[in-house]
Amino acid sequence: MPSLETNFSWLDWGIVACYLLGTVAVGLYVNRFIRNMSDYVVAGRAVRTWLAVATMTGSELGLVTVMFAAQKGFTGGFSAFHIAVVAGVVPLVVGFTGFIVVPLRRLGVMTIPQYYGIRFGQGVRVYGGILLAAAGILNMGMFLKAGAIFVTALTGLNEPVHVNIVMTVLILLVLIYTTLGGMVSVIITDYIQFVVLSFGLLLACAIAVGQLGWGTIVGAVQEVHGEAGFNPAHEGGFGVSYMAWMLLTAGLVSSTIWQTAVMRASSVESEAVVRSLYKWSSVGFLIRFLLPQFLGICALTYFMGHPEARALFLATDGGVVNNPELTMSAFPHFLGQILPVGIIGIVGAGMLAAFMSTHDSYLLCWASVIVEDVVAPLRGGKMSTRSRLLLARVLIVLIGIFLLVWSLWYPLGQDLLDYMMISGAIYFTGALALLVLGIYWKGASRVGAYMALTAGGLAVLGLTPVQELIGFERLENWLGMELSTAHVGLFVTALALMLMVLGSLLFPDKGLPAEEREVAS
Amino acid sequence: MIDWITVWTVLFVSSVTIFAIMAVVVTIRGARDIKQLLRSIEKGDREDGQDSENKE
Repeated sequence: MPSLETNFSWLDWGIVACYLLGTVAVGLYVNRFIRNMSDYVVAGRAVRTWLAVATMTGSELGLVTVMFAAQKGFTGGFSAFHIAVVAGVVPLVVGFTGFIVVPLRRLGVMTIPQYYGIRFGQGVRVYGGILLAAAGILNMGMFLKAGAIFVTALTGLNEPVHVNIVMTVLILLVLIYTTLGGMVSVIITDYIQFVVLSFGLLLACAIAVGQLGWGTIVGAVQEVHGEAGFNPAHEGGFGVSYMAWMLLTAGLVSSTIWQTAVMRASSVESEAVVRSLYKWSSVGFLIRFLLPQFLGICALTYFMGHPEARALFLATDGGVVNNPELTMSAFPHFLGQILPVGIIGIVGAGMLAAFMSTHDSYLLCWASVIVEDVVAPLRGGKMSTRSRLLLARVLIVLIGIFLLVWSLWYPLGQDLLDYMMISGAIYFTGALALLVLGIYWKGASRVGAYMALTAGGLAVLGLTPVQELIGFERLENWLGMELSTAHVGLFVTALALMLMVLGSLLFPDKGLPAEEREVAS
Repeated sequence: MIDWITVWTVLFVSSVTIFAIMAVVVTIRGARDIKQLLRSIEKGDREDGQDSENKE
């Protein structure tokens, strides 16, 4: 970790402590409202439009999102804004068309594998549930490290051991909080987080532009990235295949296929609210990328004018250094230097709340999937509410322990956003095929579903350490081209869709599963 | 040729303005929805309680 100065003071530590204690108190308070699994997982399906918008945005505008988006702005310049555009436009289209989410809400499912069960039978539900939970837990494997890098860089805790200590403290806080309240407390803290983080980020942007000036920011991007810093299709930067990958992942998958977004859609009180939720949340989906990306660009501009930092973050050829963990820390270092005492505490507390909020949403989500879609179906649905809640809470603790171990052990090796998208692809490439074809094509069959889900596992080939382990370079040399994360992800997506169609045509279902007959009737 | 600097400037300014307005609206109306949510869950619990008493 670079040793750079920060304005973070004891007053800011006090603000952060009060804020975190306050959120834990909220978790304890709302615990008394939890009576069954529906209250725990989807807040009794009683959430209205404005609160749903706040929580959807609050949950998705997490610290991790802010970190990976800022990193993309830092390493890619203004071109990174194309990710924000697709992230905003796709949910808007979903809001008008109801694509995928409205049929899911109509069926009243709490999780996506639950839909698999209705459409393709219980076997697909259990298999899909296992894959979803595995990919989801892997996907959040770097959350803890990102959170700890943020805290240490912002506060000036520069010793390497500090990152590990902060990770341990953070996961303990999250576990206590999440096991207490379930979805009701998640929704309320998401709301608080939405308020603090929205205004905090807007203020940070205003201060950054005020200090640096728009012309200087544009000039810095021009100097470091050249044309590729503005034109996203430029092959020296992101390129067309990466843009297509982002359209699929940051656009379609994040808003309709990803389990946490579907859980939000399931929590609202009607189909009309689902549509409103997506229309309004499209602004939040766009902003959750745009503001941090902009602050990442500002960090680049700021550090270019500081010789010590410039030497850390820029390579000798004038480009950004190829060190993902280092470039991830640029944004919090920047905040630590430009924000004044007091404000930095509020923004830091908001970011930490964002971290807790994202963690509790995800922990709750994956634990619920394991309970509802794997364990309960395997036990023939014979589980009491009390047993389900207890198991969900035990699983949350176990997942938390895994996350701590994974964060300490796994070498990132690529930008955080790329890690998250490709690890998520293990699940969503198959899920995309099952949801789109399952909902909109009557011919989709159980065998096709198994084949598509299995194909998704190939997405692990997009992880840098896996590529190094299997000697991925040989394949690239043989093909005569460099294969990026985007190439692997797009290939696996296409493969899953093709196998779904092929499997369905070759092995059509003889009759509808009993559950589907029930739904149809 | 696309003037990318203008495109990103317009996108940034318009998005931030819309989001600032939305943040104010969602903050105020979301607070009302929280009260309604807690009331609704509490009411649901009471009805559940009454149902089980009736069944007994």
